[in-house]
Parts: sequence; C-alpha cells; structure tokens
Amino acid sequence: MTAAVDFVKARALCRIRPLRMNRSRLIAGLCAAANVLVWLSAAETGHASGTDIRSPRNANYTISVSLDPESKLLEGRQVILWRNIQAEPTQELRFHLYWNAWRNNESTWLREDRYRGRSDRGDEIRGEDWSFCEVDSIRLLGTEGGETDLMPSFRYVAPDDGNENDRTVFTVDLPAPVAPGASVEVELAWRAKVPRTFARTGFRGDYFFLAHWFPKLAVFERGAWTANQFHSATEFYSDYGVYDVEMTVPEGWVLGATGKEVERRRQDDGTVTHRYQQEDVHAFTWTTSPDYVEFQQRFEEPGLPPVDIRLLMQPEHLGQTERHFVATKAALRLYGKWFGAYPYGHVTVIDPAYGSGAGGMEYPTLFTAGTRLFNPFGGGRPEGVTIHEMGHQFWYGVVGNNEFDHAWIDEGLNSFSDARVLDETYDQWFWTERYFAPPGIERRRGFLPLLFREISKTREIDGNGFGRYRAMAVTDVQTRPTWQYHPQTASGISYSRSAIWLHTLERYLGWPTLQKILSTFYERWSFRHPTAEDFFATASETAGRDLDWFFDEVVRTAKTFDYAIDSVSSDEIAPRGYFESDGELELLAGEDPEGDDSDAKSYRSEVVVRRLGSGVFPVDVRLEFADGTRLEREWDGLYRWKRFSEEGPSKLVSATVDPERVLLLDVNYANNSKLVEPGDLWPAFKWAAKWLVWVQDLMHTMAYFA
Amino acid sequence: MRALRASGEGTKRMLRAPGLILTIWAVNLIIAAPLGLVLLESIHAFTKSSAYHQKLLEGFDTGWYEEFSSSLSGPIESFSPGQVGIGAWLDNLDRWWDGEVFLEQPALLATAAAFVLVWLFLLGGVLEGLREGAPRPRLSTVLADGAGRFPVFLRLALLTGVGYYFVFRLARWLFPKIHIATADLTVERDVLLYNLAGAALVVALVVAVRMVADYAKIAIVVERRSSAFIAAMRGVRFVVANPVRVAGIAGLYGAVMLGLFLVYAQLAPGAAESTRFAILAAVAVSQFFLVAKLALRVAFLGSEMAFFEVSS
Repeated sequence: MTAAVDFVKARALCRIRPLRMNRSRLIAGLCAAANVLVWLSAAETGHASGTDIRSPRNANYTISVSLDPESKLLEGRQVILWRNIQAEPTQELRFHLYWNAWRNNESTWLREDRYRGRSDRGDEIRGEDWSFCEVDSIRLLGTEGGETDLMPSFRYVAPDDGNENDRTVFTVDLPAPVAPGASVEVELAWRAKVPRTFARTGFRGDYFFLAHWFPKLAVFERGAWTANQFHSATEFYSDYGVYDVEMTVPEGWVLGATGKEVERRRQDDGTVTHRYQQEDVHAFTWTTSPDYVEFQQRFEEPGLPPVDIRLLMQPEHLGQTERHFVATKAALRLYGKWFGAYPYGHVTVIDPAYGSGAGGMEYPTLFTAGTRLFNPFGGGRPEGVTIHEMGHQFWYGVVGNNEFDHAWIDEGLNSFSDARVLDETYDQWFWTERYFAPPGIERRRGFLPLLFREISKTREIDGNGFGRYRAMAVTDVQTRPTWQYHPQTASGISYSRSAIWLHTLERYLGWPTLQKILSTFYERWSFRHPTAEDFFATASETAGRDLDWFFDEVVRTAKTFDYAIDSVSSDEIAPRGYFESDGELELLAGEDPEGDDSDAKSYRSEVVVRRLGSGVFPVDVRLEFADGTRLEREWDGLYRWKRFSEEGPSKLVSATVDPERVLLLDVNYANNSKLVEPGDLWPAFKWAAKWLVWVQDLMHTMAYFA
Repeated sequence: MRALRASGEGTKRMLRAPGLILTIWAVNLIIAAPLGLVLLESIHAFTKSSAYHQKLLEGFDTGWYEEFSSSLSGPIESFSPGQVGIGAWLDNLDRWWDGEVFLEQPALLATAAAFVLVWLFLLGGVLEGLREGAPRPRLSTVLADGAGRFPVFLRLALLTGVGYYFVFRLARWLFPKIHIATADLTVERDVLLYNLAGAALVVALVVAVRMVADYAKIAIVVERRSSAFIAAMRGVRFVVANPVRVAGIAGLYGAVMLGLFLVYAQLAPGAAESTRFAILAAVAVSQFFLVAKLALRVAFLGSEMAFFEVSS
C-alpha cells in the first residue's frame, strides 16, 4: 500500500461528519497528528514521475458540505492540513473567498467587469442572484487536541487594489510561526450562498455548478503569500493536495465532481451524501442536477494509460453524446502523445444546462463543455470547447501556473494545442452564424445556426484567434501580471497572442523541436508552479539555441510585427550611355544589345521590403518569375527596409515577404505580397456583389414595413 | 373570396405588370449600387496587388477578412462572409428582429430610406395597375398616379410607423419579461418555445399593422380617399370585418415566401465560384430571387386589392 493510500485511509478514519465538528476535539487532534505523520512520509517519497505521490501535497482538504436547493445555501465544514514547503517561515494564513466577488456591486470583480464593458449586471442582479461566503469559525488544531480560535485576528485584505469593499481574501494570524517543513491544521465552518451564475459558477433552476466554492488557502511562496483578490479577467492559483469531500444533495440528483466517488450514503431526510477523493490536484469542483444523463467510456491508446471518461449530458443533447467522447479522446490521445500522459486515470465531462453560463471551463479531473439544442457538426462546437477544456487538464491541471499572474502560460499553451488537435482530428470546420437570439441577448446566442460550408476556418487564423490578437496586439506587455492587464484585452493576449507566437515558433523551429520544448516543460513542471521565465529557460535549453531574442520581441515587450513589400519592378535591361567594350568606350542608346531576339532579353527586377512594425523577426523573401522560377532570399529583418535586386531572363511576376507565413504575428499579411501587374476586378466584384444583395434585401425588408 | 382565389387573382394582376416589377427592382439596384461600388473599390484596392487576389477569386480567406474588415468604415463595415447566399436574408431578418438594424451606419439607413420613399412614390401607380380591369400599366401613368398619391401615402406611412413603434415597444417590454420568466429553465427547447410564443405575438401584431396599412392604401386608391387617418380607420374596419380571410391571404403568401426562401437556400450561390461565368451566374441567381421576392410582394398586393374590391 502506498503512502498516498495510507493518507486517504487516515483521512477517512478521521473524517469529521457534517455538523458534528465539536464532537471530539481529542479525536480531531489525534487525527491531525496521524495525518501529519502520513503526509510527511508521503512528502519524503517526493513527487518524482512514476510514483503515486506526484505533487508536494502541501494543501490538503477534508470537507463536508450540504446543499439546500431551495435556499441556494451551502453549509460546510473543512479541515485543511497545510505544510510550509518554502524556505521561509510564516505566521499568518491567507485564504480566498471567491464567491464574495458577487457579494455586492462594489467588489473588485464587479467593478472590473463593468469597466471591461462585458456586463452592466450590477443593475440587473436580483436579490437571489447575489452570493457570499461567510466564515463562521476558524480554529487552529493542535497536535494534542488543543485548539486556538483564530477568529479574533480574522480580517479581510485587498492586496491588489486596496478596495475596502472587496471580501475575496482574508487573513488570520497564527500564534507561532510555521517553520519551513512544518505543518498546521485548521478547521473552518462556513456558509455560502450560491450565485446565479457568475464566472461559470452558480445555479439555474435546479442545476448547480459549484466551483471555487469553499475557503481556499492561497499559495505561500518566496517568503510571502500570493493571494490575489478575485479579478474579472483572471482565474485561480492554489497548491496541490489531497481532497476528500463529502457532498450532501437531494436523493435522486446526479452528482459529478473532481476525483472519484468512494462512498455514497442515504439519509433519512431524503438526502444522499456522496464522498469523492482525489490526490494531487489544486481545486475541487462539483455539480448536481436531477436531469443529468450519465454515460461512460474508456479511453485506450497504445503507449498511454487508460482513462475512464464519465460524461454527464443534458437530456436534450443526447444526440451529441458521441461527439463529446470523440473530442475528449482526441485530446487525451494527442496531448498525451505530444506532451505526456494524462496522469489521473479518470475525467468527468459536464454538458452544462442551457443558460447556466457554466460552459467552457476547466477544473481538476472535471471540465464543462457546452453545446446547443441545434448544433450541426462542422461548426466547431462542442468539439473545440471540449478539446480545449480537456487540454487544460494538462496545461493548468498538471502544470499549475499562477493564473493571476501568468494566465497566458496555461491559456496560451492550451489554445495553441487545442487548435492543433482540432486541425488533426477533424477535416474541416466552417464559418457559422447563429440567428434569432431573444432581443437584447447577444447575437451569437441565437437559436438557429447556419453553417457556411464553402467558408472554411483554419487553424492559424481562427483556431489561434488571429482577429482577437490583431485587435489587441500591443495593448499590454504580455509578461505583465495578467490581473493588471486592461480587462478588455486579457483574453486576447493570454489566449490568442500566445497561441499565435507559439504557432510562429512551431513554424520557425519546426514541430519536432517545439513538441520537445513543450513535452520537456510538461515533464519538468508537472504538479509544480512554473513562471514565465521557467518556460523561456526550458524553451532555449531544449531547442539548443538562445530564444531570448524571440521572447524579448514577442512576450517581454508589446511590439507589432508588420513586414511589407513596398515596391516591385521588373524592367528590361536596356543600357544607355557609355559602356566599355573591348577596351573602347561605346555609346549605347538603350536598344537590346543582342538585337530583337526576345529569347536573349534580360530583366532587372527590384523589390523593396519594409519593416513597418516595431518587432523584428528574420524573414524570407520570395521572388516569382514569369517562367516559373522562384528565388528565395533571406533577410534578418532588422533594419527598416532592404532592397533585393535580381537580373535574369524572365520578368518578375510577384514578390512575397515571409511566403510561408512563418511569422503569424504579422498583423497585416495583405501587404506581404505584391504583384508586378495588379490583378483584375473579378474577386472584388464577386464579393461586392454578394454584399450588394444583402443591401438590396435590407432595403426590400424596410420597404415591407412601409 | 377565398384566400386561394384571391391569390390566383393577385398573381394574374401581378403578371400584367412585369415591366413594373423590373423597374422597381432596377430602382432598388440603382440606389444600392453606389454602396456596392464603394465596397468593390475597397476590396480591389486592398487585394489587387496581393496574393489574396487569387484566394478571394477561388473562395474566401478568413485571415484576409480579419485584416480587411478592420480597415473598413462607413456602411461597408457591415460586410461579412455571413451574408453569403441565404445568410443575407437571414441576417437582415435577424437585424430587424433584435433591432440592430437601427444601429446601422447612417449612410446605409439613408440609402434604405431612400428606397422606401421611392417605393411609396411608385406604390400609388402600382396599386392603380392592380385594380380590376386596369390596363397594363405604363411607366408614365405609374409615375403620375404615384405622384398624386405620394403625399397621402407618406402621411399614412408615418401613422403606420406609430403602429410599428408601439409593437416595437411591446417587444422591448415583452422579451426581457420572457428572459426573466425563463431564467430558471434549464432546457433550451422550453426557452425556445417561450420565445417563439412571444415572437408569434409580435409577428402577428406586425402583420396586423401591415394589413391595416395595406388595406388603407388600397382604400386610398379604390375609394379615392385623401385623408391618411380616415384611410387608416377604413383599413382597421376592413381587417376587423374580415379577419379570417385577411389572415388567410397573408398566411398563404407567408407560406409561399417561406417556400421561396427554402428554394433560395438550395440554389443560392456560396463562396466557391471562381470563373467569370460562374460569378456572373451567381449574381444573376441572387438578383433573380430578389425579383421573385418583389413579384411576390406585388402579387400579394394584387390579392389584397382583389379581395378588397370584392368585399367592399
């Protein structure tokens, strides 16, 4: 039996039943001591790959929570066993209370959300929609049954913006410092009101999706607590640990959660308690509803460990069940082969209820996809979102970067990766529009979809989010802490800009090299908290070349990339003036020296390439000639312009800078090529005529009302 | 007169005036064409020297669209690949549905409004041509009749606008209520049904206003009325007196319009035509369906006229 299993058994023995917290302090103290011993032995085992102890397991939670669907209240008790794995001591503990972000309209989250222009929900939120998380007690458990009440030192703090109305972080003082390597165990009792969904957590009717729902320890690192307030545009950060959670819900309701169910108990009051356990994760999420329909399949692929997939579907989406499985397996297979195996052996896929707002989000060993009643195959959903969120099990779940500071690490790596999986798995996906949303609801939520099967989407443009990147290319320096980004641009930078520069790296270094970088990063930083510089260092080391120049240009600064063909010309060489011939000066008048023999004509072709953006990247320049000849020339792209001059028997037809579009970061690719003879009007006519029909029809429709 | 017979009569009367329909279509095209030329010049300037030139001829490129669309301003900002084929019709309906059409570029709205004025101007002549026993309409008579009726039609349009405004206000009130009422429903199909019920009510009211306006115009022509208000009251009385048959004619034409829509959905050109012939054929198909839509509209007016003449 491994230390991990010992730990779980010890926790099970010591589990504190719901609402019976005070029954035996002595037992609790003994249990805490036993846990520390088990856990210390686990820690000594380390987290090397191949053992059952994968992570430091320094933040371990035992939670009992009950849900009252009528009042939308959670009542919980939890014991946290925390070990200081840093070299510095600390005499305080800091916690997140994420649901206080929607406690009132003066929270930092809602202030930022309004500024972000995404929502003016502050005026629309009804009484039942607000949420809170109130800590009723917090006690330090002693190893010999003694307890210290920490509530006297309980206080909210707002380390990011000083907002006195923000209640998303609190701190308590400890009676003595926790030395490096030492542990403390605290127990908390709390109540929380479930919000109508904000940030993908909350309720709709009898559908509940509960994420970041309990008081959660922040991360102690480099001698200080990293405990950011909850921000509108960023996500989460926690240490790894073991979760042992009991959730009590009405009987007959289906429940899905992080981890695996190990026990189920029925109570006389018509409720059922589900107990789930999971090791080596940094969060615990659950969902419950009477409507879920459960499916199970197993992922099996040579060279990769099997994974049991549990899928909870909405009844009206049963026709799309297999699409969810196919996408989940595609991600497990390709992420597994490219980066490293999925380590947990099971994953739960949630198809959230309509309008619940819970779709498209990742949690350890559980994620939400998201589809619609009418959703023809080929539009990219739910396949894209399923692959993306399954992919987050790797980039976020296993490699656990700080999403407050460097959201781009998991979002960027994952956006790049999911677009690659989508491209490899599905032949094509198409431009899609949705029509007839209820008035006042954004158009993309319309009920009726239409696929434009002659307009394909591509990985490099649509998969990577080129449009979002382009609109926000220089808004913020990417290495700035994400929570400090302009709120409207955070996703454009974290997701799209990162995916595009990673794709640029793929084209520049080649996929084998980038794949090696990413798999090395995955292996090296599994169950740890990498920073941006850790990624840069891994990239240079693995590629075997210094890539700092690239990260300087692309990530550490906010530069735009725009190379352009400024001019092209190709003229017959017709010497005029005095030229030396056989030692004599000869006056030439511009005629072809070889007479009228057209085969002997010679052309001088000149191309001027410019760097219009501030970013520098080496580029190729391709010259194409009338006889089909192609010349490729290299340019380091450093100075602002360069002239290329070629002489030959054929006339230049076109010039293209970066013809293979290696530099996907180039914001204007239309100016990357130039034809010597401009093209005709037909393409413009074709597309203008289509729009003209739309204008005419708009006029007809308006006349209908007259 | 039954709806089917009225529609047959309306179609016969519409067929008396094919030239008139083509004239209205041509006017529509001429008014819209300058905007089309602006877009044509913009696309050409953006792509004529670039590798995108060939790509756009052969299909579409979403990367090009990202770049090009961000360079646009004014009415051509609305250019989108979602306007290909049947998407153009759906997109317009959708913009009307959510009221977004009122947020369009002023130049686009002004262009559309210009066509509405021309339509109102020609409508007097069109309706005269649709009367029982009317001779095949000539452009000069249509213009003369139209000019004579234009002031009262314009006043009627303003009155009708008030009616639409109240329907619009009702919709703005109704759908947020539906949104709140369905806030706890977890099944999209149920939410859709609630919204469809709301939509049916709004569409029925829009059609009712439109029917009143149509019969008011017919009354102006047939009964030589010069007061828009009295004509509107006459329209109300007529619709109230013949609700089933008025609705029957409207429903029949709605069904035919839906059929036309479905046919166009099958035949509408997409994005792939790349030869000159194919491009011209695609333009011809799209324009043909606009003509068909217009013809249906005139036939509908002809049916209403026939029904009004028999029933009053």
